[in-house]
Amino acid sequence: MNEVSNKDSFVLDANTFAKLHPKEFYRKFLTNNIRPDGRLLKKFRKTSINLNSLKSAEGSCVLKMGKTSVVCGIKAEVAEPRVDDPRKGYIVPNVELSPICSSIFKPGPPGELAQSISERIDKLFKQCKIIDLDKLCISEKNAVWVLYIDVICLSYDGNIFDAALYSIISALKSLKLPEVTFIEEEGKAEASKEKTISLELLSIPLSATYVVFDDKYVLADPNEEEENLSSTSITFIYNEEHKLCGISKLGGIPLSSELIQDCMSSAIERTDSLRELLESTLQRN
Amino acid sequence: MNLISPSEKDFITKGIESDLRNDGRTRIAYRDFIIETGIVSQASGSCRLRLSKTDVLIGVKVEIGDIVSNTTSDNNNEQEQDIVNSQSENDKGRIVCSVECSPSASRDFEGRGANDINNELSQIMNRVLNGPQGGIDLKSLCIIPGAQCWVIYVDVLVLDYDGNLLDTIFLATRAALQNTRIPKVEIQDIGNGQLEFEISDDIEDAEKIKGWEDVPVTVTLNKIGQKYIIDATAMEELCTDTKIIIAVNKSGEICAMQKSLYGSLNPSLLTEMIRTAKDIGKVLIKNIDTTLEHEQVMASRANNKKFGFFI
Amino acid sequence: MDKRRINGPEISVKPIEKKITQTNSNDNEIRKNNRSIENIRPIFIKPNVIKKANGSAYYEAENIKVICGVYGPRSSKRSMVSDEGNIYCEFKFAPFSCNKRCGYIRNAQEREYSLIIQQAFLPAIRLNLYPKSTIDIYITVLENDGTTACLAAAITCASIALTDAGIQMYDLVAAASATCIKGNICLDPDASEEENDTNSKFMLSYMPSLKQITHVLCTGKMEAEQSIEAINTCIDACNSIKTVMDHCLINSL
Repeated sequence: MNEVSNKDSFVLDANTFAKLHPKEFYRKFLTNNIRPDGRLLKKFRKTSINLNSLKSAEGSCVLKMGKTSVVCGIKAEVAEPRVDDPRKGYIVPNVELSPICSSIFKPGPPGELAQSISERIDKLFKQCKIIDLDKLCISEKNAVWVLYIDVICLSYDGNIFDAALYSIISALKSLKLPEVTFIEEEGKAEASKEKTISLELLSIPLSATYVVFDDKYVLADPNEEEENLSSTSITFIYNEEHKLCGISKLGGIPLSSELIQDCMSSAIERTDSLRELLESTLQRN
Repeated sequence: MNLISPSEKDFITKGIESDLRNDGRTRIAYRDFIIETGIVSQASGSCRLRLSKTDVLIGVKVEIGDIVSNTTSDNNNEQEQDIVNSQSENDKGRIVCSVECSPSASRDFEGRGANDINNELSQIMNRVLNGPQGGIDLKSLCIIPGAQCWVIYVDVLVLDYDGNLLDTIFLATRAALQNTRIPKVEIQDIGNGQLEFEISDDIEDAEKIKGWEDVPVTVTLNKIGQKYIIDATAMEELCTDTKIIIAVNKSGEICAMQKSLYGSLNPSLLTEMIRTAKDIGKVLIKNIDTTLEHEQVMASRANNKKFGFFI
Repeated sequence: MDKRRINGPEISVKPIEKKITQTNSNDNEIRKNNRSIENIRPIFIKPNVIKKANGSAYYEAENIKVICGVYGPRSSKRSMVSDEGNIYCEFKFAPFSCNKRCGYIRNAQEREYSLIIQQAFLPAIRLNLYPKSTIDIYITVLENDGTTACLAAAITCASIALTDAGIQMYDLVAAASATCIKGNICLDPDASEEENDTNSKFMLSYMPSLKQITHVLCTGKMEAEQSIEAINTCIDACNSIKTVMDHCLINSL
């Protein structure tokens, strides 16, 4: 009896099936308009931020987006400005994907992903006027602020670019620079502990990332597995005036304009909700 | 990697349990050492110390360097200041140690493994010698506060190896620092607060390093079985699973302590080890100082002998 | 110059803080931060914080924040194969964790601490059960308030992470730090107490149930008897840290 029934119904349990045929597993869910983690297709993961929890940094943000979590810390130091730009400060953003956050990253120098994210964020700062670099001037030709923005990934589960950018913007919003006076005779910058100034942001660009699965399903805020299974990914960066600051689609399959239009409206919604979260968190502090 | 057979290990361990080691020593007996100072003519101070077959050569060079309160370089050999360092420390010189184990001395020093050993030994030396526990008066090395100071470079070359390397290095360092002379510096005020200095060429003017008497030596205790020994040979070191390094100065104060290797130990045994190390360390320093004194007397006698016909 | 990262200016410094003339009302107090000499900062530990890691833990004690991830056991590189397992440890201060920004490349101190943590766990892990394998321990200090205390925190945190990863151990390893201020042994020193380098620093890691010391590190001048006293004080502290660790592990079940 037993033998016969086994032969007739060879059933894989869900976990084994997901491991053996991950694409087929996803397809089964997506045809019903839901993802294996219970999200709808255009649903972003629950995002929370915690500002200024690190006392050693001038500004900091701990961000959790589902199982992805990053820490951004900003250290402010004083340096001599460039000769051709005597009033401009420096902004040095770096994203570190160390082996602590996932076994796919190896110890040693940063890998391709980390390098490309750092580069994209650096470009955004250079070209999108987020901060007026003249505001970072302490004394012309003598001293300017250097903002070292370091993002460390603690737990990696996809969509690291959105997480990194949001944490950087939040940390910049919470940044408190000490008031500094430059003493010309000694060539020293002296800071007072009591008085701090915060930095004004000219614009607040935030990003939303989507991946396309099987050429037709658009998944918002992909986790690591979804990233690996998808054929292409597309990121939109919008500022608070709903103007597009950046869009990146690095290779992958061609997409129709309707599909992109569809993502754009969702991205505006998403970036707006992130800005609201930031504002409400800042007010609570 | 040097290897040892289980029966050899057993033999050594059992011997140590009954307080008799392969070379006839008891558990807390030291081997004899031979010491020579001032043998490198171009160095400011030097020493070669042979403890049985373990052979180290130390050259000390004093150079003028910039005072750095916060090191910016990430250079491996450069002494890294503690990360939580205050900026106010601008009137201190520094000591930079580097150890190099010659690959011909032991199979352990071949290839990449040597880097780790070199790094670990240099790190221990730097940590012990820089700071108040190192004995040397770092403030006296300062020439112009905030600008220039003397930097003492201690370069250790390990020529041959038969156990107990760190102790040998520290004994030799103490002797080499005793032997070191720093040229005399005259500071002049050239108006409006600017200072300038001039270094005297005369060897007779050169001064000893202040505080060399308080330079500590290390006593390395190896736990074998349930007992511990000092001054282990290379074979005995292979039987050890826990090593405790304790730095002791002239007055018997503990200047540093560190465990190494893969074992663990009882608190009561550690207590006993500290007390032993304190006594051994004091005796060691006394021995090396009398040897050095004796050597100096001999050297000055040799200098007085005049040769040649034109006397 | 690192081409693979975004680089800032060659030299930058922290602005000098104005000396605040503090009139200390109670100079008789041994510690300036209103803690008694045997006081440890309250500890919070949470296991399983990194999704992709086999085991992980987060440790917080006031301004000390440490995160640890354990991966493995994985197969060792061919050149390192042996009958017993290996431990690979990487300890790193986050760039923004210290008073002065520290770079990404591990400096000598971080390399040394990695070695110390590795040595502290070698006697505790049942390595004979993991032949030909390596266990990776990655530790990042997010905020530093006392470098020696951070090292002790890293060991305690890694101990929980190893347990979370299901690595077989003989016992938990707890670690405590101390400093000697004016002849008094003070537990768990913070950055301001460490700054004064005449104070000697002390770190001890201990297996409380087996009553075995797995590592001891001490810098600075101390009388022999005083260092013995420090060992005993640290052992007591480790015993009380152990109860915190036990609670944390039981609650996580």
